[in-house]
Amino acid sequence: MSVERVEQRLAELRARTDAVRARPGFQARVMLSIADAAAGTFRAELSRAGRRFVPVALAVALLTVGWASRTDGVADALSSAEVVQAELYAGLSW
Amino acid sequence: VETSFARLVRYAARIVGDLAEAEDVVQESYVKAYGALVDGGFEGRSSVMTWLYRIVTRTAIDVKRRRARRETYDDVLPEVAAGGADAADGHVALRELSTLLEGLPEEQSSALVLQALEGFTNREIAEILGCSEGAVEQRLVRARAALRKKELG
Repeated sequence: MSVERVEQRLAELRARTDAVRARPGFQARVMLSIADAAAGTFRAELSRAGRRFVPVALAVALLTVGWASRTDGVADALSSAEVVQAELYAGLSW
Repeated sequence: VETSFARLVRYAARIVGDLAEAEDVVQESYVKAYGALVDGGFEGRSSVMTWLYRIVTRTAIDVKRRRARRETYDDVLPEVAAGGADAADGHVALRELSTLLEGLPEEQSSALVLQALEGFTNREIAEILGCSEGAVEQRLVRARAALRKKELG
């Protein structure tokens, strides 16, 4: 095939394939797949963030429980001291 | 967006030789482009359209390598017939183009499609294919030589 014939053939195929179009609904299909990808990214980010958050949350929870029970113990000790004191006052007042 | 869809589907069809497969290529490319945008993969050095053409080219080549040529021409033709005689002829022409480019290395056939059918300059093709203008010229010369040889043989 000559150079001219090759160019002619390519030009002819260009003109004939210019009419090729995506089928109806294709744009919506692409938008949906992008939305799916976006949702997937969001879920992955959430899961990744969650994995990072769980150990921290666990440590915070343990510290809170520890602190709470210690505070509770102090509170118990304080309240029993108050009771003894009240009993002592009551005894003295007799 | 509609214009870029239309152009990219037509381009992908010219590369893979089949509309249904071209739609899959463009769909996959848009999802890849979205992922790249989210990850900051688009540096803005080229235009968005050039960047999309690059993604479509790579995806189309991957699809061509990955899948055996789909036997969907018969399935596609009745749907196309509804779009009119021009559309039906377009699909016959896609088949003829695919046969013409068959056997050419992917980098040569994509350079040829980008220049002779999509109307890009060698500089734009170099940007899309990620090579030098010299390499593009070389690919085009070799592609045309192969086509001449093919027809003579």
